[in-house]
Formats: sequence, C-alpha cells, structure tokens
Amino acid sequence: MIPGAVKTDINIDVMNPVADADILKDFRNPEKSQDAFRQLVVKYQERLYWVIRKIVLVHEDADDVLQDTMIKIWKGLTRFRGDAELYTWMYRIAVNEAISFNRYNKLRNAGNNRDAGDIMISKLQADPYYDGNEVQDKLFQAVSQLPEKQREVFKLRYFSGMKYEEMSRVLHTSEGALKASYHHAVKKIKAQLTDND
Amino acid sequence: MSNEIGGEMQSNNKHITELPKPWKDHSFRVPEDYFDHLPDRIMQHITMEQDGVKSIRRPVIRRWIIRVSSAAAILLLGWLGVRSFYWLPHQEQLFQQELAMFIDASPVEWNEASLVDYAVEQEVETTTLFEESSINLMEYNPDWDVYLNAESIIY
Repeated sequence: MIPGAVKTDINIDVMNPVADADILKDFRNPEKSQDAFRQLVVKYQERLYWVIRKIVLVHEDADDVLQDTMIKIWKGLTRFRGDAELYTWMYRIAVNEAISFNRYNKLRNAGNNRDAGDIMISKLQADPYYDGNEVQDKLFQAVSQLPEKQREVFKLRYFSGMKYEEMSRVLHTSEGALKASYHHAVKKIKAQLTDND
Repeated sequence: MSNEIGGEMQSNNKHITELPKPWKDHSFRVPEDYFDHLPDRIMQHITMEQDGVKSIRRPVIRRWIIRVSSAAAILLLGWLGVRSFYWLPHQEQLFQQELAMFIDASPVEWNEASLVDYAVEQEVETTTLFEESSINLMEYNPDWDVYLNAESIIY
C-alpha cells in the first residue's frame, strides 16, 4: 500500500465484480460510500485507462487523466440518475477529459513553434511503457503528420474504435465531416507508409 | 461529402486491414502492479478532497488555470513596470505642458510650484484649472487673492 493511502477492510473480488446497482446503492450510504467507490474503481479502472491511453498515448499522461476522471466521477456520482449505463457515463467523462487534456497540451505548446504532432511523437518515443516496433513507429510518425482535426478523428476511430455518432457528440462535428476527415487521414497514412517502404 | 469521397470511403476497410494495430500487438504497457496501487492513490486523493485539503496532484485543467493565472499576473506586473518607467513620465510631461499653457494664457502671474501643489492635492486636472473658482484658489493660497481680486479671472 502506498504511503497515505486509505485503508479498507473490504475484500474485493476482481473476478466476480459487484453489480453496478449494488455499488450505486452503497455509494448513496455515507458510511459505505468510500468502499463502494473503491469497488467501482477496481471494476472499471483498466477499461477506462485504455480508453484514455488510446487518446493521449503516453502512460504518464494517461495516469494523470485517469485520476482526474475518477475524481470527476466521484463528484458526479451522486447526481448520476441511471439514464445511461454506468460505464457509458464514465466512458464519456474519460473521453472528454482525455480530449480536453490534448487541447490544453496544444495550448501549452502554442508558443514553442513545434507542431503538436512532433511533440506527440517525441513524447511517445520517450515513454518507457511504449515498445512499438519499426512498423508501429512509422504509423505513429504518419499520424503525427496529419492535420490536427484528422489526427484527433483518426485516433478516436482507429485506436479507440469510437462510433461516429459518439464522436460527433464529443467533437461537436457532423458525422459526415468526421467520416470525410477519417477517410482523408487513412489515405494520407497509407500513402506515407507506402512511401517509406 | 462528394460521391467520389463516399465511394473511396467504401475501400477504407481494406486500407485499415493493411495498417498496423499497435493496441493488439501489446506495444503499450503499464508499470508493474500499476492497477494494484491505483485504487489506493485515487482514494487518497478523494479523501483529501473530502477533508478539504488541496490535492497534492491538482487536476490537469486546474493546474493549467493556475499557470495561466500566474502568466497573467506576470504580464500585469510587467505592464505596471513599463507604466512606471514610461507611461507615468509621459503623463508628467503632459501635465507640465498643460500647466505651462494655463500660465501663459492667464492674465496674471502664477507661482508655478504652488499651482502644481494645488492641482495635485485637490486632484484637479490641469486642463480644467480655468474652471476652478477663485474661492477655491484663494482658500488654498490666500496670497493669490491679490491677483484674483485685481484681475477679472473670476470664473
């Protein structure tokens, strides 16, 4: 256990996770809310981590964004009314946080004359938790050369498998425009990979 | 979207199958035991939030708001610095010019230093000195009554 972490007596069975409805019920009980939320974190942390990692790519960034996501989920869970599946609701928070993170990164780097794609590729290559081979390096190099909008759409569609309908809601762009962006992105990436061969 | 693009998009699936799939090749890893420790770290932050203690690791967006605010504060300080070195002397120069114009245009002789003191203390713009009543001026410096009574500059 890391220093300062909250101790808990509950025994969480990862193989047989508690049902969402039971977690929510316990969460609404002030005496059980911490344990209930811990169960929620254990149950969904890995899925949400990979949703975020596929958007921000670097582990350290994914770790930051995941923790922010979990804190937002904690704060918003009392207002969750169950209109959507619990995971769908958490997934949306995670995607929004990851996209916001990329936008803030872009703003942060706006003054240093380096393209966001170049920064992305250099951060990825410095990530000790990325073991890409030559072909994958070429793919990310090609992705990094895309215009920002196409890069964002490609990452969400190809890496995360996000549906256009969901992407349209998150990026505030029509599905047609997203499909066209994705099409152009795929074409450029393929051309670049072919040129490099 | 044009038909040409729409048609080409049909072949996207074929293109996609030819692209590498880094997520399926396990090229991305996490540190050992990362997911074992993560719930503890998250619960630690949440406990701190509940206790009203500022989190050690501020949320990303909040950290950027703090940084942007700091940058704005630095810019403000910089502007104030420039203002004190350039703008204020410039204002001082304007003040002197306007005062000189008032003295030149006035039918009586004024003690410039006393007028400056008056304008500063009473917070009167040099451009509106002509509009000041003689009573105010006399109350400030009784010696001026000679001029004020002798000449028709009572406004």
